[in-house]
Amino acid sequence: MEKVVGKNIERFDAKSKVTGTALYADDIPLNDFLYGAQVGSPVARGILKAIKKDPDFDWTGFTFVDYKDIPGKNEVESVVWDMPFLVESEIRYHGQAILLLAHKNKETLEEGIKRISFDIEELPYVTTIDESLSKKIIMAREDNVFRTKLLHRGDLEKGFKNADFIFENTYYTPHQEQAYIEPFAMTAHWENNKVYIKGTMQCPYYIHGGLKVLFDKKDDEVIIAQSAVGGAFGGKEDYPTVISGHAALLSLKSGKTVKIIYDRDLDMNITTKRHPSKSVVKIGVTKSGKITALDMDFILDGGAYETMSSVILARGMLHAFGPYELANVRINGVIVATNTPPNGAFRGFGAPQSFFAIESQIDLIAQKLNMSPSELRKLNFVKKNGTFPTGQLLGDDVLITEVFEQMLNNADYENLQKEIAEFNKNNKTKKRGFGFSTFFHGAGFTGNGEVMVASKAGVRLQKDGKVFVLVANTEMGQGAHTVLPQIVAEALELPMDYVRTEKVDTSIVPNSGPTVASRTTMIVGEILRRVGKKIKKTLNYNNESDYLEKVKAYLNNKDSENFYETYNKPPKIVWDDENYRGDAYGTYAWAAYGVLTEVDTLSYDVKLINAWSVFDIGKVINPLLASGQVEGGMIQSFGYALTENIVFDKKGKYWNADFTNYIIPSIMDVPKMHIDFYNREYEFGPYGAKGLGELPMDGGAPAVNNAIRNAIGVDLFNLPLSPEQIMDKMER
Amino acid sequence: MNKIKVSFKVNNKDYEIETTPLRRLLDILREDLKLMGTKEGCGEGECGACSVLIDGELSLACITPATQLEGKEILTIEGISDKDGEPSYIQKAFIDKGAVQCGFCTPGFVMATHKYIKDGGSNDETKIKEALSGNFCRCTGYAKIVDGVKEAIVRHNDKEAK
Repeated sequence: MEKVVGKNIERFDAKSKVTGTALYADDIPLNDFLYGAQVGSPVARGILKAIKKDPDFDWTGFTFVDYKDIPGKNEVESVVWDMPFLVESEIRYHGQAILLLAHKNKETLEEGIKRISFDIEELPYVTTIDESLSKKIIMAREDNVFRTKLLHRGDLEKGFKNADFIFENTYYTPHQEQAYIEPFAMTAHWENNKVYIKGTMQCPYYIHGGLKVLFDKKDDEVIIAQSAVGGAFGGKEDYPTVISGHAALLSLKSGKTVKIIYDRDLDMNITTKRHPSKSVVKIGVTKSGKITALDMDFILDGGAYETMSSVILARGMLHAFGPYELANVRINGVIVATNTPPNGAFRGFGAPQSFFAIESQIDLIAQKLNMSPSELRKLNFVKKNGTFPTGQLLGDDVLITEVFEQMLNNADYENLQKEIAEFNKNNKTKKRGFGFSTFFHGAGFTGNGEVMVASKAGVRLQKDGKVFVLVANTEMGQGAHTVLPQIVAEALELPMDYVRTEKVDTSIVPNSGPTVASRTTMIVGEILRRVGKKIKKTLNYNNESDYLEKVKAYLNNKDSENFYETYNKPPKIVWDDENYRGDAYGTYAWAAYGVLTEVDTLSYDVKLINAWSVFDIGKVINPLLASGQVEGGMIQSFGYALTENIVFDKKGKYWNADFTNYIIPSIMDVPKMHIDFYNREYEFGPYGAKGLGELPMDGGAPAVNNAIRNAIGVDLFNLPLSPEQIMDKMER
Repeated sequence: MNKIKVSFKVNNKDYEIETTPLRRLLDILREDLKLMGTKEGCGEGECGACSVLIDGELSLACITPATQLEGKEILTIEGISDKDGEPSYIQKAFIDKGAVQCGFCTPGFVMATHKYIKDGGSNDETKIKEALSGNFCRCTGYAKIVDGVKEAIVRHNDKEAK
């Protein structure tokens, strides 16, 4: 049997997407429906006193919904259920939904939104971590603090005592917008007291849970289905519960199908973004470059409600120590509240923030010690069978040294340095530099997450021999609905055309967990591999034609049968969430970036020329899809490094919530990318695969920062690494 | 607002519609003509997801009002595929080179590529990038889209040679 895994199998959805026939949420034909919309707060903080409808406007045909129309709980289900679907009294951010409107005519609806006003007692607000920490204005809980966590190893005091030098610096990162090209769109309708949702989403069972709470419904009374999804990157992980709730409330009240579409401006103004961060990094080192202690305050801006920020804090902290063996560590994690829309999931999930801090600081120290940044890293890298600060004993699959060496080798580091020196000698106003970053990503949920979710996945075996993969994991561009069937086909020892993914609909597919945390291929894929093996064993066929006969005989008079398996925890994984000890992740994927930049010393413009990367993601199931994923992730991380930034206007509203002023990389900004994989199979992943999705987002910002440092000798501490910031340093 | 009558062609088919003068071509295509392949990504002419050809020029349907459509010939993604609805050589090249991920930007990129190749665009990477610089993609990092365009040019030239 020819292998399927490791092949560039064509995406199942490629044809429909290139021809424009794929149906995204706003493309699905609907009959007799209303457009829905929210009317949000015009202030960042206040107390709502009254909702006023313009008496001179013709309100015929409008449906209105406020919090009093909610049949169940006005709480968005999340890790912490502290956010309401609709404002009752307290307003915590600009644009927060107060009232919902629906009308059959889009233009009339838009006019109606303008004819609503609110009586609000305005209150002073905070928009930044430092304002929140100053506690001059308390806007949430007793002290603006949602959550603290502590990770500790060894003896910090002793560690710093043994240091010859101590370097302490503070790093800031801003909001980052996911900038999926398809904005939010969701449709809701009711039938026989059951609510049906269809739209753009990552995690149908999150919405399922959320709507059960909102409407006080049972499992089978809430049906969630996914349309084609035009990108997500974490941005469609938790927010879909809110927009689905809004659409369903309007539909319940109007008795009609309701579709809510966000335009780009609204989408960027009120949906979740990457948490801004402040990292105070203090590192002790010996003269020879050995790190003796790391003390870090890692503070995230959770936004107006805590929602799921604690798990993002956890992941940020559990990557904050970098790929190093450190005996004495303290990482103090804090989530503060601000009067900004709640922040949420975005590819990397806290790790891009903490890696920016640690990987920039490592380079800064190398420069201060007059050491090569590669030697300083190699001296401190965690080794095979080493220990991470949580006390996690790592196995022999620690590959940070290997991926780093391979990256330097691919970039021809020795010669590149000579070329750079030569270039810089001959160019007065252009200076080149090479910088790198070394990083990792824990695949699957943090700690006991996978055990708690207990994912179930399966396939439907049909009489005609066709096999449909039954998972709640969504296709959002990453290729999951092509890669998962590849794994099943391999396990069944059948050609690809027998297997495809069933449409994602909670009335059809089991809860195989959310499509997050770089877990789909590794965790769900492994469950599916076991399902495939079970069928192969049960039917005991020798070849394709034998298979077809045995399926018929086995199913007898049935048309199909479903086969399921649930998550099996690999042995030896133990996590103590109270004390932050043990195996934070079942395994880690390792990577290294090298970036060649050119800084214009007149305009301080930074151009990326070349980027090298090496990823250890275990076995690569589909090389073309995998390389597309990592290229996209690299470019997203370079956008984070250089241009992406949210700024506020005077009312505490995002000022640049549009593609004109929020700058994502265009095709002109992209360096030549040289990507490479380190192929080592992971024992507990399907055919040796590990998680991949988030890893490429983690390393771009520090690599670019270090390349700028190498080019012009400035130490930068804030993202984005803008010309303004460089000018400020150079001309001070 | 008073309505106007406009006549134009879309994918070689004649249409006459009555609409408000400032109504966007994007809405006319999607709502009136039910041509859903042209997408709205930003609504302000930045992202290129709504790219179409108007009288052969690459244009953005989200910032083109009805008043500008009289007598025009419009080509959308639905008019690019082969007669039987199968992908054209450009679309096939995009598939083969992995240029498609979430797919929401893809129709726009296909339109920009179609225009570039129709105008005799060369395999020069900088020129290809310039031709596609009005389109955003957040998934691919653009490398595989450039590969797709290069492959399409090769296939186009092969076809011409035959």
